[in-house]
Amino acid sequence: MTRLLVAVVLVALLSAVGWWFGLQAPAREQQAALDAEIAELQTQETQLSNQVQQLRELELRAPQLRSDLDRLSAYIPPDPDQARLLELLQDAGNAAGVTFTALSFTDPQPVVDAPVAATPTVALGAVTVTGAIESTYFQLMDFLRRLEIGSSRAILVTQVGLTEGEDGFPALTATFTAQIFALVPAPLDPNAQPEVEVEVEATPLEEGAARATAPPDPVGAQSAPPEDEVQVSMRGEG
Amino acid sequence: MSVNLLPEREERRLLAQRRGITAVLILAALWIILGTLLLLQLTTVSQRVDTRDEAAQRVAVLQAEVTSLAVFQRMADDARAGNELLAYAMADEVSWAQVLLDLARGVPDSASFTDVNGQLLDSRGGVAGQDVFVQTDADDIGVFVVNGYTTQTFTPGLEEMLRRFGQIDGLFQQYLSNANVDAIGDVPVTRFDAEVRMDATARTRRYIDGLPELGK
Repeated sequence: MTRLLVAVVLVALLSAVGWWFGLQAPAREQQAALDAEIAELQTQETQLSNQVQQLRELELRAPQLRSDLDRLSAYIPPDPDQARLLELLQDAGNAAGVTFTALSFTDPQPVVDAPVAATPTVALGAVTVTGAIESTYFQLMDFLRRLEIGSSRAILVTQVGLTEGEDGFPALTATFTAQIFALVPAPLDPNAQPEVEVEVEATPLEEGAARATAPPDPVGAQSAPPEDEVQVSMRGEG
Repeated sequence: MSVNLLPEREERRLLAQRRGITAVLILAALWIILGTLLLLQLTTVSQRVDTRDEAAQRVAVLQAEVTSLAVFQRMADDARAGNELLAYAMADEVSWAQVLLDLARGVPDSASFTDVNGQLLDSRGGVAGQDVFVQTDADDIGVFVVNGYTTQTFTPGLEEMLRRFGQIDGLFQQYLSNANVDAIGDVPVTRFDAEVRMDATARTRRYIDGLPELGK
């Protein structure tokens, strides 16, 4: 009787232990893992749903965004686009009745501390434009007004000078300095590790190859001084 | 009264048999309970697998949707970056036309300018204006240097001109640096060199959020 009881208890105990460790516990672990996975997926689902909702709203705004990007590309074009600038200046000059006598442009220079552009390989660059025009005082005002309001290009007038014209008052000779903007190649990181130049015992034939290890000149450190200007002259119709 | 007629050995055999059957039944009951619990657990796991698969499918669909709509996010990012660049580039813009108009209105009839030169101080740390009358006021954004003459003498001619400069919106700290009596033909005049500084109200702030509104 006692042996049977002990045997039953032993078998029951072994069965319970085997059931727990062999079957139930792995199943519970699997369930726990699945619960965690489901919770993670639900979180992702919520985030993605919100993201999709935001993107759908952006999709509705797509025509406006395209229009904004087109306008932004006109205000700050991907290259100096001097041809269109000349057209804008000439149109404004003709409408205001001023006559251009000279224009000069510096080389594009990256603008220091400008925000990062959408594409990391480009940066905001500025070209300084200096112009001379013949006009009256109020024609000059009209011209400057048209540059400020009517131009689809970002033109930051930084200096205006007026002096009596050769023909005497009210004819004036006016000068203006402005900055126009364009995207230029981003300057190289000055903190980047320069290429290591390896000194090589070179025979005369090898010398040229051994020297060709200098890092490229960053745009921001161009050897050409900003005073390098291109002079053009133009005559207005009015 | 009952009388057990079976032999005692047979009675013990039957008792042992009953105990054996009882033990087997107890174990069987235990196994049935354990099996039922396991079945419930496996059912739950199976349901969780289905739930997981459904959630994964929904996530995959949403992910594909996000991928297909990502072009609009890029457009928005490009627009934001472009607006930031434009706002930075044009932060210093001044309405020169308005300033020149105000300057013209502020000049007394008795005075004329022969040279006017206005220049912005570059807030981006670049070229500064003329090195005159340093004013460390934060509103100091530029300077006008004017040369001219008045057909009146120092007072009331120059005096009135300086007072009226100070009343022009966007201009402040008018300063006469030089004045001398001269003549143009037979007309006595007082020539002057002066400067007046521009404050931040002269800025247009049109590009403060990037693209200006159309027509503004």
